[in-house]
Amino acid sequence: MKLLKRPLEAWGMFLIFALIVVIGTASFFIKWMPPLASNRISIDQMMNVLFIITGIFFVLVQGLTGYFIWKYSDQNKERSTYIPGSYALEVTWTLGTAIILAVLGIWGVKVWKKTVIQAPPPNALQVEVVAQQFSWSFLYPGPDGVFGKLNPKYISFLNPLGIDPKDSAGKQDVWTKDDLYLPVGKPVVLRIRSLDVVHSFFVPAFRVKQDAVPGMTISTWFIPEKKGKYEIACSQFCGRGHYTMRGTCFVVSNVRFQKELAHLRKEDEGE
Amino acid sequence: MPASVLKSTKPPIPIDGGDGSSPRGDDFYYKEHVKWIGLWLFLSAVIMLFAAFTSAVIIRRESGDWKPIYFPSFLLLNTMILIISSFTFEISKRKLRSLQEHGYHFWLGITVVLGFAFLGGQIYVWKLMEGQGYFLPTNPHASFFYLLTCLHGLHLLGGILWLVFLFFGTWQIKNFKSSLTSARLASTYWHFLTFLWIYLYCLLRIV
Amino acid sequence: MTVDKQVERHHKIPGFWQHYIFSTNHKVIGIQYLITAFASALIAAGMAMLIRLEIAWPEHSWPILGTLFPGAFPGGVMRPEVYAALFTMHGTLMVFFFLSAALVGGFGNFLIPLQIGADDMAFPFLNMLSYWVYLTGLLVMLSSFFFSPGGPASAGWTSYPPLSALKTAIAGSDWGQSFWIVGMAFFIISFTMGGLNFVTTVLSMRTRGMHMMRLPLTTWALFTTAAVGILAFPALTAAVVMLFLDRHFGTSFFLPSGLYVAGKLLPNKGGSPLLWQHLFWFLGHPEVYIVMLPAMGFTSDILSTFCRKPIFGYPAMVGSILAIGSLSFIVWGHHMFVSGMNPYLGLFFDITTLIIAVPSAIKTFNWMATLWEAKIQLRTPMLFALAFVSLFVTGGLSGIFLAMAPADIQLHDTYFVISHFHFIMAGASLFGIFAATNFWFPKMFGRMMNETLGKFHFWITFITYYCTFFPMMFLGLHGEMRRLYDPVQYYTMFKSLQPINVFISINAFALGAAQLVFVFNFFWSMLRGEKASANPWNANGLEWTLSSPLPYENWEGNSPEVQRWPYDYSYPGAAKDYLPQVVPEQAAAGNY
Ligand code: HEM
Ligand SMILES: [Cu+2]
Ligand SMILES: [Cu+2]
Repeated sequence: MKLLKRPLEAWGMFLIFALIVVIGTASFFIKWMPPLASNRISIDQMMNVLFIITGIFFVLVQGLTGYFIWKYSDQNKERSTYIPGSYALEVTWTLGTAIILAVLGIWGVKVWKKTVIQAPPPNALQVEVVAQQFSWSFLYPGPDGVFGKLNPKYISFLNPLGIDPKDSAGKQDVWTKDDLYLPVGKPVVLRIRSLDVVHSFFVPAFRVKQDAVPGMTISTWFIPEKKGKYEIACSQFCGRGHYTMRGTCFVVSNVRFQKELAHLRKEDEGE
Repeated sequence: MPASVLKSTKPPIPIDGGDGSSPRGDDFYYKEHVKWIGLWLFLSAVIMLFAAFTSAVIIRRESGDWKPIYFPSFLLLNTMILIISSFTFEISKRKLRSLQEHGYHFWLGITVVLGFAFLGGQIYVWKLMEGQGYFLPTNPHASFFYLLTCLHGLHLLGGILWLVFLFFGTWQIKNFKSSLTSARLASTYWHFLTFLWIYLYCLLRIV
Repeated sequence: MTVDKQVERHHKIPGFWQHYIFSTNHKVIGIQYLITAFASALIAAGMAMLIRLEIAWPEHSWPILGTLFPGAFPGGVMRPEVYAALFTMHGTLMVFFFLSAALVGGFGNFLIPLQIGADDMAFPFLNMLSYWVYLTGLLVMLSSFFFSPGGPASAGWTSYPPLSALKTAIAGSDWGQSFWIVGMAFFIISFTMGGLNFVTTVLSMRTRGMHMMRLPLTTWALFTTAAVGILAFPALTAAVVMLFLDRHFGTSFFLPSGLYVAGKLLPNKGGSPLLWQHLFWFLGHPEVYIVMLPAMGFTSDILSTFCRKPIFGYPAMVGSILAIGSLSFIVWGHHMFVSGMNPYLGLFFDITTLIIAVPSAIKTFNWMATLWEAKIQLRTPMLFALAFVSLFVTGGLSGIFLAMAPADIQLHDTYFVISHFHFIMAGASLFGIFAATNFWFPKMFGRMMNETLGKFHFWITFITYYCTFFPMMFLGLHGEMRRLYDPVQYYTMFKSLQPINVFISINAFALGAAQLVFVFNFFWSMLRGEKASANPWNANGLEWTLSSPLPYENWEGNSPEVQRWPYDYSYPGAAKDYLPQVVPEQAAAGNY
């Protein structure tokens, strides 16, 4: 019983640290990330391993700290032990963390190369994504596969993207507002740009996020792998209506996708 | 004035007072030491400031609209004025070392006048540039030119005020050592600004 | 020839104005800084309450708020612009005007000369100026609520252009952003003046026997912080100067060609929005460590004192402080993984960020080892210091996710980031400040802070802090973005998360309310608290050899001679379980 004699604070801290460990660990077993709907599975795999490694450290460090607080609050002891340090321990945990982090680092580099740096397959569908306060526009090239030039000079009510009317390549381009159609299983390159301030194209289910920076065209590519409807978010604060800047991505079969495009083209000509 | 005092104007060891503590006590060297550290820390902040601008110049000129502008040749002349002022400051310090009060003040005064001349010259250069149609927003090179010359000028204005202060503060060299310290501190700052200007001139010229 | 005459300042206590208001005494300036910083923290915490109110019950009408602030809450509903202004000012006030000011201006001023055995700072006048410039900056920031057409700055504490540069892009960029720039300029000048002072003081005013390797870790940390600040802040200075020119003089440093805003094509050409981000984060990341390092220092000293045991691995602790300080300059790009910068740069910053995790881990392990085989006394400062370790670990481990560039794709700009930095930067530093205030209070005011109130404050704060910020990680993993005025009106994917937001907000209110206990305890103890002895915690630092409250002149001419490092607790063979730094070797066994 003497062993259990501790000040109340020691028990309190022990309890809180125990709760942190238990609740913290338990809650990470819930799948918080939305189910993956693209080819970026390497990110998920990496995150899962990160959860395990950081989880182990979390339990170990928080748990041990809580336990130490409890254990060494024993007031029966006469005095603390004078231990100014240990060379061996310092070296061990320095090298230990360094090695773990180095492995993680190398892995991170690999995944980054695979998802961001690697060039898209040549047959990829190209879509121009234009962000502005507070909407998304998506521009698909005509059958020629070439985009017409965009120039803010030509922006008008009927031409909000500023498609250059003198550029013949732009004649058959079609655009949609807020709705992005993508064929399932086909690589897509998004060429992201912005007309005014910094926005960010974000689809949580695809693990895709890329800032839209005015003055730059930034490409990112992925393969949507599950049919369905996904919300497109703007994740960079862009002004008063930032919270309204939602788009929708429809991942559909290739046939349906062609139909949509044809439909859009017809509408365009109708005007 | 014993000769040994005149020679030993450098502070002894910085940072460490032998037993690991700082050079202690209320003696003269200690006070001088504090001022030197303060000055160099300040200069390192200024260096970082202009390093930041340098990186901005480098990044900015990558963009397509960078059109080099050409400076009036007067700018080179103005640069010479600043360089000369550094020399006149050195002369004045030399006079101080040999205890020629008069010469010291004379050359210090010249330095102040040259400093003002340089500032006036910079403003004249701005006018010339405006005459050529280069205004602050005209193009990025012009923007950086106005921005950097203005910031350098502000630092130099601070330097001039310091010199004026020195000029009247040490009107009579009552205390040789502290006068010399003040002069050496001020001249370090002054030379620093000269070098900074030469650097900025090259930066603006080369890009 | 005459030697400089020492001004006889001893025994001369100046009148009221010079003593309390325009004082050049480092202790008075420290307390001025601390109290001002607490005031701005309270204001910023109030803003956080409004932010949480809005997120949990978006666009709900609160009639009281409608009557109190009819302009900001028409019909009791917050306007979106107001929400933006609130989080912008919350972040700015908390990071710069509270944490940096309290840690560096407050404790730095108060503690450095005491811990190194100096009479005052190297440049006392500069020190006074630093406080008044800081106060001016704070007043400029706050005045933007009242005097700025369009309200205060609203582009986030990061102020990314073009949003922050174009008056038409958001109401707060009309005048508010200019107030912000001017306020920050004042802050930077003030911080630089303070930093110059601290570094010079530590380098050149240590008392006899005070080697660098005998400095308490608090002083080591404050010293490093000051040096980092001097070198990092100029980048922000450069950035705000250029932003100011872009805003008012038509230049295009950050404004690219073809901007089409509010129905108009702008004439700007060729600027680079990413340039701002680089310059901002070149300061912004070191800034995180500017507020972390002092709190780490306090924690080390407080842990050691209440463990009655030397800090474990002192050289490693000093080394990691220096390593963190210097590495903090080459990791800024981890805030820009998805910003569109060259992806190869992303690789570089990925690696450097993981490297900086190593010294942070070393510190954690050393703190844990300090607990090992100790006889812990759980007084209020100790509780806060222990909680600091816990928050630091939680924040640090979540940081590994953000350091890994591919994971950051998912997590950047979500609540995961908010959670991460509220643990590692905001929370840890906040708890460090609470620990330090409780610990050094007797030195400041000659009285102890009330233990009962202190512990009450601690338990509520610790529990609600976790309950507020830990669930934010799950929001972030799910993808909920930060800075959302209304997360559910447009996005259906966040609807199911709304109960978590309600839970967070309720805890945030409890957290906010608990801080009033601290404020009450602070002022009540200042006036009524139990009188403190010179060394109430039986600590070793030089500051504890002086009376409580401190004399007006620290050492009154007899500066102490230091004989040992400050961590000789439970020294084998010594009579008492502590050995102040001034006790010589021979006397150790006898008197102590
Ligand atoms: C009183 C407890 C606090 C609460 C409840 C709180 C709450 C919040 C919330 C909910 C946000 C996100 C706003 C949004 O994304 O819409 C936020 C942002 C932020 N908080 Fe706190 N916070 C607290 C204390 C602190 C402290 C002590 C700091 C000190 C560093 C801090 C620094 C920040 C910063 C820098 C931001 C980002 C602002 C921005 O997005 O521009 N907070 N806070
Ligand atoms: Cu947005
Ligand atoms: Cu960072």
